[in-house]
Amino acid sequence: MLFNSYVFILLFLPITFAAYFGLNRFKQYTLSKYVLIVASLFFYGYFNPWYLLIIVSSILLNYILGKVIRRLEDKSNGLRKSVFVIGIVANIGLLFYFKYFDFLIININTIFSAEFNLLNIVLPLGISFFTFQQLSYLIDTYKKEVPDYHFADYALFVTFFPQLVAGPIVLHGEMLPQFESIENKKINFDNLVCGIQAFSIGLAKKVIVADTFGKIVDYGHLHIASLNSFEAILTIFAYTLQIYFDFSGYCDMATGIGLMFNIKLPQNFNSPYKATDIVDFWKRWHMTLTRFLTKYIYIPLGGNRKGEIRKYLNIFIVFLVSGIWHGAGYTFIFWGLFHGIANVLTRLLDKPLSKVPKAIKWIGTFLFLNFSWTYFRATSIGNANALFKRVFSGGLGINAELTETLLQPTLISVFSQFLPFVAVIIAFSLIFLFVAVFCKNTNEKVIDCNPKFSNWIFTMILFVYSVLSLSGISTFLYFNF
Amino acid sequence: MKKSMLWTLSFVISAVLCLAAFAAVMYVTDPLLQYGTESKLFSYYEYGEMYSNPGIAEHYEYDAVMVGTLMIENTDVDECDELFGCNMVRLPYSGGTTYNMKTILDVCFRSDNNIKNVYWELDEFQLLGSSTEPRYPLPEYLYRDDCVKDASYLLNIDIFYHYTMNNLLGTLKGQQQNAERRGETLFGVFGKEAMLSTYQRSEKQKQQTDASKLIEKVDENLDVNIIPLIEANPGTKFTFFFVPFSVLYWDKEVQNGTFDITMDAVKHAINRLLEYENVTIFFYHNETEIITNLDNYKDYSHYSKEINSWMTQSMAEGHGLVTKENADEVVESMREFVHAYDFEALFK
Repeated sequence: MLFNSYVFILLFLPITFAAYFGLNRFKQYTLSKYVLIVASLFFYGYFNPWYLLIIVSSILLNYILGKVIRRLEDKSNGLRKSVFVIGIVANIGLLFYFKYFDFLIININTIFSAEFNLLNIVLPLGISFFTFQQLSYLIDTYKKEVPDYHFADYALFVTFFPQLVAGPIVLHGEMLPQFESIENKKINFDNLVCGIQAFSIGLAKKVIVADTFGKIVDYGHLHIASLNSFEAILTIFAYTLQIYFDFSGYCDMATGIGLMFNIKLPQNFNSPYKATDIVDFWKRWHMTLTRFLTKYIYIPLGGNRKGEIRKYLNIFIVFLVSGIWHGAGYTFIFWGLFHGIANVLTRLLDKPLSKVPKAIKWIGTFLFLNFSWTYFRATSIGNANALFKRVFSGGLGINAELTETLLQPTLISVFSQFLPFVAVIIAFSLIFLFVAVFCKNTNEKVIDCNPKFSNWIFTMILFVYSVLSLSGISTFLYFNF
Repeated sequence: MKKSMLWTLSFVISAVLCLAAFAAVMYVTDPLLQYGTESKLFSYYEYGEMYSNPGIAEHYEYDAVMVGTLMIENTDVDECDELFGCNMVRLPYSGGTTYNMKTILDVCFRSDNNIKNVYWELDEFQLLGSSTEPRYPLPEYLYRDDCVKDASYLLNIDIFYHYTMNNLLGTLKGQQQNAERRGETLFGVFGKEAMLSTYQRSEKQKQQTDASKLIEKVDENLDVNIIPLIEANPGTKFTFFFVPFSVLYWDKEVQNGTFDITMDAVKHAINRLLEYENVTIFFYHNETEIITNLDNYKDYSHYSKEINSWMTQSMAEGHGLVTKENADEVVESMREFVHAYDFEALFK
């Protein structure tokens, strides 16, 4: 089920909310937890019921392995370690099978001119997210950092629907105490005020902003060979904005829904396009992934404790893993490599870079992001290169087919009645670049979300307009990672 | 009452009221005919078949349907009614795939109508095209029959802005336009000179001989989108007709080296379809007088309304009928004609 769907907004969310707090009202705390688990599984299975088999098996396996590792705490270290390794291999194996097996076959076929058939495996949504969360649980259990959780708590930690399919990547330590707290079992109107605001802002970011940019991006990447310079630049730039508004919009909605249930999800975005260098960017973009990779890959690899060269190598490895995690394809690997190189260079050139004016650094960072996102979005490296070439092909204006597509959303259509169409598109792009770079982000707004008439009106407009714009829009970009 | 409680409750109530009021306006104006036939009060804006077809399929009264691509865009529905003795609706899809046809026919068969005849313009684009995708993105929700459709339609500001508003403006201006299109709707400049100017002859490719891939594709389209409908509706007669593309279309096939394998694929499709008792097939690809007269066309495939009318009359008279006995012969006669035809003369 998508957050940006009628069934979620008009049925699923109100019913789940009423059932959860209704049961809590009568102190049915365990039952209410199970209701939330069942609702979350329904939310997940709504995409494809077969996915349930995978997620339920994954939860059961990890919970049992966790229990076994705990039981073996005082016994032979060898056996305990073996169980732990089996757990890690099983999780990564599951992820590998669903996400990378076909990619491996393609590579084997290319390198050895073989003809193995592709399995055409369908990637279960959010598998990268729930696998990472459970890996963190297993690793921490092995390190004896995890209390003995009840099954319902563990299952809820993995399945809790706001963060299930696209993060943020939560850690057990920050979620389970919140599920336990009796204080959180009562409807909290202060949280609801903030939650509704965060949800509505996220919904608008997705439906009104990201999907409009998405129309440009989809068209551009499908018709690379015929784009003029302006269309090529617009395609590249639109994707930079689309992916931010799409993914952060999703996370804002997740934050908002979490708050409605009195659960604070960790912040995932902190205005990443305000970053003035690429190291800064990664402190602001998909923060829970950076946190995960730092804790479970960078630090175990030695972090910065084994000398400068190892530090840079470790940073590079983390970004390579991040690239591979995002998808089975060379475009993602390239993207990871670019970011790895940029991170290492930024650190190496720290001193000379500190003398460069901030505005110049911002421009350089933003251009690099546009460049690397293009590889991230393109269906092949060749296509990304071709798109860059079209930037120098000459020509201005927007062709008729793209114009027609972009006139579908009422907002663009209305303004195009009074202003030249190209001007409307440029203004739309620049306004939302401005919003991304200069305005407060949703997490900052949520801190200051006291009930006021002004934020009531603002939220109402965003919510109603977004709900009325739900039909026929694309799915979240980040579901496939 | 606590301020945050007041904020929340008033927000939820107001949001529900706003959405309900919007839905009510959409329900009453019903621009895409999702809740009934067209109102005499409104002028209906021209909004493309993929939007108007499902409403017509669901709510109009009819006993015959014609589906197909732009090849049926100029078919005169009144003429069909008269010559076939039926009450027809025409539901074309520009460049439609078999998926398009199946999707709209599902809506037709779901409606209250007792459909006695389906006239299906079938061509190589459909038989060798996608079986799972429409040609252009469809507003899929309009083809559903559940509350997702209602929500997607009633709570849709883009439909309100583009269709309801235009309908209302048209009505206020006193224009009267029906939602259903029954006559000529594909216009353009017809004639040899015009149509030749749209054609870019490609270099001659190597003749392909292995038809198996095409036959696989034909089977996929038949098995996914065509035969299930034939089998599920034994009381309905399915009439498939292959329309007269101009010789330039066949020149393209010859130049691409695909003509012979395409004919193999067509023959295969015809033979499979004729296994069903409720199937009739008409074949007009080989109407040499028509297809060699380039004045009938505006490009290599699209012909003028006179050809549509000629086809309607031909079908009514039984001309061009393909049977199990003559199926192979009919396709082979087409193959012979094309092999013998002097295409070069067209470009001199």
